[in-house]
Amino acid sequence: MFKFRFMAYMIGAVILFSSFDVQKCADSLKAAYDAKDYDAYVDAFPDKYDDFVKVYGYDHKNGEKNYTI
Amino acid sequence: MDMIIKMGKKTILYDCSYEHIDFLFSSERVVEQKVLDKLLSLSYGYIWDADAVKYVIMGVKRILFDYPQRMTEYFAGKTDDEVISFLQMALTCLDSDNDYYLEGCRKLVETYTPYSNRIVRLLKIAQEKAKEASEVLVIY
Repeated sequence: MFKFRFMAYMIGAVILFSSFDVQKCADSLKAAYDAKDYDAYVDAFPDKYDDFVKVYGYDHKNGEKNYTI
Repeated sequence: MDMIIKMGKKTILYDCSYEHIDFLFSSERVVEQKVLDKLLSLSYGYIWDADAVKYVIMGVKRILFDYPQRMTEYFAGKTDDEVISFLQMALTCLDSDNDYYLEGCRKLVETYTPYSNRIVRLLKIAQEKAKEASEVLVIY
């Protein structure tokens, strides 16, 4: 029982810390872009395809102006 | 109150998506290790899913054409699978049979011929893989 609970906590922690925050990423990218801070922009740029599309792809999918989700 | 309204608002990330993404490729620093590693990581599972995808493809193609020496050095430290993934991202296309696209592939091979036989070989594999991926997309 203890083992099961421990495993559930561990899985929960992994999901929590590995989830991608689209809005946070978009805010960081916008701040870096507006300040023309190349290092900050590179750091904020998503490095996984799925995350990249979440941040940059929705203007195309929704057919509206480029808002983050 | 203003702060609460601001917190609930969605941020406009960019007005012109091309301009925004092109910022990454606008500096010569784009060929630094950390940027290339990020692009390599991005290349896994890269398909045509949104307009922005194309802007990265355009930027990566520019890097390959403008910095063959640097890219040859970078690829030397990477496995074949990693290089193919990176190159496949650059060669992703919705219509891989058109003359303009094929001419671009031919020019890339021409560009890397003096630098590395390995990259030329991997370019041809990446082109085939990109074509297969495009065909899957068309069916979808």
